Amino acid sequence: MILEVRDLAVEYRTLEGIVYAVNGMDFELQKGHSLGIVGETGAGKTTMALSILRLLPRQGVITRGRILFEKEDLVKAKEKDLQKIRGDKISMVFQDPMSSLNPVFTVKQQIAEVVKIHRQVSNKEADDRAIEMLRAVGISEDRADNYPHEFSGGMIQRVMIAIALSCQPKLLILDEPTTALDVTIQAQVLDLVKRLRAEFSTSMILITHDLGIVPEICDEVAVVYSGRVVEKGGIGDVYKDPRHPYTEGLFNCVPDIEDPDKKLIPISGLSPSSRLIPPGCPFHPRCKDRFDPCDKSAPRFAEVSPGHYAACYKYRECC
Amino acid sequence: MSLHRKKKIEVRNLKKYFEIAKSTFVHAVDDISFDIMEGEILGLVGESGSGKTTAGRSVLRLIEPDSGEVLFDGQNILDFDHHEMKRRRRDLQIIFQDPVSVLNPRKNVFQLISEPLRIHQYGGRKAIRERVCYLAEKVGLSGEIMSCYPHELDGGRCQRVGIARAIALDPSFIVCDEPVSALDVSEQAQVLNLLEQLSTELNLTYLFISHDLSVVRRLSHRIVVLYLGMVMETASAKELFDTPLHPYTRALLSAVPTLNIDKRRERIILKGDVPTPINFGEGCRFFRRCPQAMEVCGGVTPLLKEKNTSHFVACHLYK
Repeated sequence: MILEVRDLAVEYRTLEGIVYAVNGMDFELQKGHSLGIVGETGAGKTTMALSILRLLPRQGVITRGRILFEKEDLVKAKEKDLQKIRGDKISMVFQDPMSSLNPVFTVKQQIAEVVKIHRQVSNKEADDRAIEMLRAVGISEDRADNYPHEFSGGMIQRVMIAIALSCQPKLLILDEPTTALDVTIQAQVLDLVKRLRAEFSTSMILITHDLGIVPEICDEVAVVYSGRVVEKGGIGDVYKDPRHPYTEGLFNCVPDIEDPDKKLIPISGLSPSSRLIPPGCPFHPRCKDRFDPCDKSAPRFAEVSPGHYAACYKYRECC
Repeated sequence: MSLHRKKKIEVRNLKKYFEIAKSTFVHAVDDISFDIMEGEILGLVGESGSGKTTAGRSVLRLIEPDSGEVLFDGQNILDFDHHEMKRRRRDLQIIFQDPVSVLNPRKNVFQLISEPLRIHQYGGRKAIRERVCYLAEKVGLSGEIMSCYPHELDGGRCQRVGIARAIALDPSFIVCDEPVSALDVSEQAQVLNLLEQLSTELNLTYLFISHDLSVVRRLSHRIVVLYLGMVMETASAKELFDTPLHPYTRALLSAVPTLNIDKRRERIILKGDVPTPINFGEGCRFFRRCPQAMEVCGGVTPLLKEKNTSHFVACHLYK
């Protein structure tokens, strides 16, 4: 097990009140595996990812839970230990490529910077490593001394991946890495990630709201709603046999290019508020299958079939 | 499918160039032609730089085209003077991408929906009030939100207000410019269902612009594929998706993610980035990235020709 997140809770303390972004998230990742974390905007996916590397903004506070990375609890780790982990043992690629890089340094300098921080190497060795990484992500050496503004979004994202993998991390987190990209460029970037993962055997977490890209590069998927994981399992299990009404709802309302006549059935009700969490199951106000226990207490995450978990009273009854 | 009686819109050789520096022009829309039959939904797809948004706005003269014709019910609207154009705008409407930012934050829902009615002198207070109630019901907005302001509503409701405004004066043609891109998945499903329903109920003709091919496939009868300001292929939705002819269309379709984990298309990964259409000379726009490029493609611009019934493609592979 390379990563275990146990009962994680994170809130943002703002002037307008508290935002409960993550409300008891549980999941784990086996070494070498790839987990997709899906959910809509505001579900708490990015907050959870930032919590792993303790990159939350000032207002963000982890109020409970543990994040075990190779058995060490990152929630309790000191800043100087975290600095050794970030970029070296755990790396992250962020959402908006155009605002991720420092505009006044070349791409080679920015990759070399990470290498120099974590490895005892000379400047020349760091530069060589930078060029090697650029080549690995399909960017030719003659662009190494270009500045970020001279690249397109897709190429910047490839530079970000080069930076993230430069010290061969054990875990790579990608937060909506292709959301801002055109679909053909998205295909390029996903293809690259797939190849590099195979080459370096990196464990991976992919965060996205796009259900379609998860099967491309992930073995497992966790569905997040209102700051909690409501379902988790292998791609085959969750995509063919979803066991949570929210997961079913997601699949039913999204158009699918391979199913053009599919009737789109919206999920009734409104997106959940992160300021006011209802008692019981977070999805119950919108759930067409809700019954007696749903508004009293939140259902526990339970195994509904081998390796397939869901937090739902409906599916607990039948297994 | 609606009755396809006569041609509602005929776009002929539309061009729009933007001068970004002395003698440097972005060929945003470069000689595009297409027809939309009455009651039809024509999807206009393309990635960044394809010119789809500029095309949509040019068709309505929200951006003034540089040359070409836009025939609406047989008349060239580019010939109309200011007064005639304003009169015709009752019939030619638009729904924008970001529902919240297009609504005046200082007006409530009632005022927003009644605004087009007042501008075009629809009638007295009573007539306007009745019409607003009718429109609100048509788009599924409840009476209680009439006094709400845009910031109090979610994206889906705001977009319904936008739709109510667009249909207020009983138009026959609406440009839908990425109408669901800024909405979350459930809101998307609701708005797509509403747009489809209204098109049949009110016999509306749509130019539906989107980068999301799954959405376009679901809603459109026919589709036009743009790349760097030019039409690559035009066909019925089914024909385009089942038998794409243009190498760009094939690559584009292969890149679209799907929820069906068993039915995945063979990925065609394109090399390079989408360039900006600056100062383009002769030759196919897709030449640099085309996996099937031939020598002629670099020097001669292929013309859009009918290959199968109503299936047009601009590509030297098809002579």
